[in-house]
Amino acid sequence: MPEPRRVAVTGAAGRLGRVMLDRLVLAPEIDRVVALDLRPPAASHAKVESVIADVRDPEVGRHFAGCDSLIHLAFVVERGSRDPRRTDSINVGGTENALRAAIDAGVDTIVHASSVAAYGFHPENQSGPLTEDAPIRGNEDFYYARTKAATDRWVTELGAAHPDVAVSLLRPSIFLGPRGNGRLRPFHGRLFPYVTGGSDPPTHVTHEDDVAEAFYLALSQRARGAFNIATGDPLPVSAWAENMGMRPMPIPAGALSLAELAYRARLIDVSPEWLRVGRRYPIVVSSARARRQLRWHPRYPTTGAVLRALAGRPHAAASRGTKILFGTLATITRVRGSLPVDERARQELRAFGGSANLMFTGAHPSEWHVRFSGGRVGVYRGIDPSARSTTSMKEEVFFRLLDGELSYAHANMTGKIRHHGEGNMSMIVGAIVGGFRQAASAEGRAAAPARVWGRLVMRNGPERSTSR
Amino acid sequence: MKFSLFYEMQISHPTRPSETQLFHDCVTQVELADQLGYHCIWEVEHHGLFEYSHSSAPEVFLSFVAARTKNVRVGHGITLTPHRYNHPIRIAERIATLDILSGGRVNWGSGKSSSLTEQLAFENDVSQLHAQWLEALDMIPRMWQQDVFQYKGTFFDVPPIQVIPKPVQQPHPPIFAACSKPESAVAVGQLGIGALNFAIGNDDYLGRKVDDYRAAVRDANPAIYQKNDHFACTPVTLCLPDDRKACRYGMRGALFFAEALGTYYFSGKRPIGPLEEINREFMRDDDLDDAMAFRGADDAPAMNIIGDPAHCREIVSRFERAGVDEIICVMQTGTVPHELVMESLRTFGEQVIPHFSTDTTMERRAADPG
Repeated sequence: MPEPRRVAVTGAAGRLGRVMLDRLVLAPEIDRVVALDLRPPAASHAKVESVIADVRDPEVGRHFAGCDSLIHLAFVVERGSRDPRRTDSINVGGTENALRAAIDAGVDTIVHASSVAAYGFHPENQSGPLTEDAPIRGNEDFYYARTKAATDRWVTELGAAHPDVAVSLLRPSIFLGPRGNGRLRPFHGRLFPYVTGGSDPPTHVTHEDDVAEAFYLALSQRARGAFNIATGDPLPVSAWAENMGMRPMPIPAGALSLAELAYRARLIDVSPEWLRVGRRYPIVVSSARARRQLRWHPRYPTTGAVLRALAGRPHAAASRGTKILFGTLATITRVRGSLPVDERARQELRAFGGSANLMFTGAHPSEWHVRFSGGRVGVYRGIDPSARSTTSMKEEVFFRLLDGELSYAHANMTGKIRHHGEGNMSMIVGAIVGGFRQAASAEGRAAAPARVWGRLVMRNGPERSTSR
Repeated sequence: MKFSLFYEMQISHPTRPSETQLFHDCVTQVELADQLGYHCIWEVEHHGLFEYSHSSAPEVFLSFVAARTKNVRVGHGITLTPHRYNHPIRIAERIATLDILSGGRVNWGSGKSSSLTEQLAFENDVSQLHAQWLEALDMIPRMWQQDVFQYKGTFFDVPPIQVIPKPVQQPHPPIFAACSKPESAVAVGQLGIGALNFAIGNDDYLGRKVDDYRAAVRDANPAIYQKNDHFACTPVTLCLPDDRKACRYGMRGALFFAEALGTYYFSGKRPIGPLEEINREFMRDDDLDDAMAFRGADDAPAMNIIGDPAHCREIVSRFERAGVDEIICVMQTGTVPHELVMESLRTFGEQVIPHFSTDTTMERRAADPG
């Protein structure tokens, strides 16, 4: 049994704070949680000591006495434009004050809540998922992105200056869930409102439980550095309604000015900047680092899965994902004669000929073959007896590979993937997986099948095929 | 069957001191390998493949090794021959010098590099690398054999020059080339040079690749150098008396090797800094159970030689049945501690190698004049 831990949490009555406390009290090695917030706590627990405290208080450190860790969540999220000076004093000043106080109080671990918004909404983001080394430059005209970026940079420097303290920064996407987020209520109606006229960028939604789990993992592993925390497969807001079994209710962009008025009149309490997020450039991130280093395996791995879970609609394809995925590819092949690939991919694929069988075992077994010929590629039902190779695996293994949780080399070595026939043809599975995960950036001839597959799988994956 | 060692000089999360230590550890390992009768030390040439391979000056390492050893051969696996990496005249001179100083113990492999990191760092025209490799291969053996060398090709127009010194092996050190795809194994066979196969595959696949190579090399008739009919494989190897310990460390090392390689060669990226998404940890116990059991499965590929001596002998015989001439063990991987490499060298050398006969080939005869 490891040493009992004492954890301080700021912003403990906030949206994530409430979920965070529920997660921390479950951890057997944590024997005490000091919960700080300006507001009274939402619930109580024997392990939790709630204090009304302000992160701007020069004496805030007295609450950290005896604590070995700090999870810093306190931040103005929704009403920030109402009083910009107060917002800055809490978000920037409060963060610096609380973290310095925690280090003075002798904590050895700090987990800071940054955000994907710290990257900022920029046109360059469209070239592919952002990894943790992307520049931090929150947009100046949006207080949330600006203050998240400022604190993100400051906390990174703090970590570098204090090598004896494990300082991690978690950058979650938008997260939703039944406990923390009251804003889900409109989702229970039949109509789902969204603002039209914008770029409708793909947007990650992560489940609040999965975000809290990531914070707990970073804390318990004493992780260092930045981690993106977001689901795979972000969806444009216009596609959310279908995933939740609702009808989309488009609201013309002009209505935003009404929202502005309503906010000023204090009829609504969400800064209109938030409504305009759907009109900005996308922030799509890769969470591979969290999956690999923190071993973060979200229970709801995709944005669609989160939305369906919140709407109480389980994924129809969850138990037969490969049938849906490959069935869709086979249907496209049948209708079009081959799968759509661009000219460059066609050139690269010219070098490949023959077919490779793919067999998925498990509760819903299925068999397919992939045929390459003269730069064309197609997926067909059933086994091709003259195929150059046959690869078989459990359906679950395939999705773990796509998820990045399991590496291809690992699956090969542990016999989770079985190959018969020619080695390089059976490598097609590695190519599918590699392509899915790296389609955006791959170069070179060896990666050609991976790239092509990546494009196909991403375009026609199970999430999309059931939601469109 | 011959048994050799392959050195990438891997190191997980290097520091300046640990990198320095790595080089000295490798020398210690090679000295032991020489005493135990290993056949050859093959050293790679890579540039900037941080963590995956810190062996950027193999000619220096191999000269040092040659001075510290008696019998083991010293092999370049491989020299990058496109001229932005190494001018062909410089290669010929260095190999000949090493051949003299080592007493005719040099094996010379050649290749063109395929990681973007080094291709672009040396500002290569990637589309010309293959042609540059072939031209160097056409030039260097001439330099070793001709008193006065003169050449007019696609990339070079060399006026008459006396390339000196000349190697002691006659007519020259045995020549090899890297290959992995079946087509490239055949292409190397058609050139009539030894194949260094860096790929994996199941037994049938490997067997067919060897057969195709043999058919090609049989018909090859190289005009300017001596034919070398030889097929070698490079499996990750760790052989310890305790089977589970061998697998715990060996599988972790093999994963590091495979995933680091994948990052530099198949991701389409040029990573800078420590490699992300690389397995550096031990397998979970249940995965380790699976991996250990899978070694003996009918359809398990002949890839890693990991386990106790009995398991290692079994996997080696599968390479032997496929017709492989030489196993170049990759024992030094990024996450295997030096002490375990030493123990593995000894265990493998004493309890695996003696069970296999080492036949004579052209390369041996070349090394042993008279």
